[in-house]
Amino acid sequence: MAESTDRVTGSLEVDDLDLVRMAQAGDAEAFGELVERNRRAVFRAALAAVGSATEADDVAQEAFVTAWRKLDGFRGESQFRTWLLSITWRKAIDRRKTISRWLKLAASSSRNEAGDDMFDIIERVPSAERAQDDILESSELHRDVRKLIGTLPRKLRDALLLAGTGEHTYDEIGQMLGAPVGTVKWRVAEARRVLKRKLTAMGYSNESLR
Amino acid sequence: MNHYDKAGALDGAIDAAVREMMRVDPRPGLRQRVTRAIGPRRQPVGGFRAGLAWAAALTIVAAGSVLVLRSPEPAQPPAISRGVTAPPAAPAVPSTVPHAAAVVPPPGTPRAPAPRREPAPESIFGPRADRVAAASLPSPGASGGAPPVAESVVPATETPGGVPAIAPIVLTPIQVAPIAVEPLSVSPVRLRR
Repeated sequence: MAESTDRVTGSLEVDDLDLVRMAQAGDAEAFGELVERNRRAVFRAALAAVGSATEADDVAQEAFVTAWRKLDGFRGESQFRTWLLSITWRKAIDRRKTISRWLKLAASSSRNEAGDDMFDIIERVPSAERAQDDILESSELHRDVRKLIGTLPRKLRDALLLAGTGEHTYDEIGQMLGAPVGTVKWRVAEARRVLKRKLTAMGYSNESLR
Repeated sequence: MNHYDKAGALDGAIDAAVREMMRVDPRPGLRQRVTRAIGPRRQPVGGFRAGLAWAAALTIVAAGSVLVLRSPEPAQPPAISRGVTAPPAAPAVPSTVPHAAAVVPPPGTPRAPAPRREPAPESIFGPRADRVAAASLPSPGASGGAPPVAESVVPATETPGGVPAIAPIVLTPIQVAPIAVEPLSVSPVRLRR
């Protein structure tokens, strides 16, 4: 097992396409490397849709297994990651349709609710990437912003959250959402405008926050 | 100066909240879970098993086609026994007696089981003589007179196989006479006053 891992990951120049070819030939270890390289992007895309870390974990695993089964269908016309994210998004949307907790959880400010919600995620699996100044105290403002994000129309919310993962380009987001890049950018900007309007209505303003 | 001052405080707050929500890592061990789920090795398309599956499918399709093509032909209608005479083949005379000739299948083709033929019942008029004779006509050999019409009946021609030939059906064109339409005469209406 260690030998094959070295063979796969030893060279930094083994790109995704090479790994895909190896995986298409049946090499599960090569596919494992693809999982490792794309796990965060896949997980966060699922998280943007389903709003729960547990559900996102399941969706990510399902997406990778589906990608493995459909690997012969990948012809290299697009990036492997883009193709993988499209599969992930479809799985996540299917999962979202069966759960309705996202809106309820986003609207609720209680931290005592049982089960996973966006509040629990931060404490359970903090990202190693988070810089010191990003580890903010759970201020009332941020709680209100999170609540308001949950009330956004789905198209605006999906675009805003996917753009906020730090893992996806606008091209990839466009592929996932099935929308042109310009539309994605518009949706992100519109989501911000709606949030600012609602925050202002709640009494927040640029001056008061400085 | 923090990012709030640059982008506007509200924008900064929104960005920070979204980052907080989304920059989360998956549970450790995702690779192992996926590897366990997919198994040790994947059978690529075009492998031995796929080839076997294709061969089996083609064999089934071929066998099915052979069975369909070799289905037995429908039974031929029984041939009318010899002795039925047909009128002479004349262009203007339509055939009056429909014939159903027994069709001999070409050699080599699988034959349908021959239909059971029951012996023809004896005629109440006696044994057949392949001739039509009218009771009012004098019998052959009688002196004088024109030969009976029936004598002029030509026995049915027979094919070398002993099967009476079917006279060709001649269709005469139908003459449609125009209908003479008489003009309507309508009596004037008398109104009562």
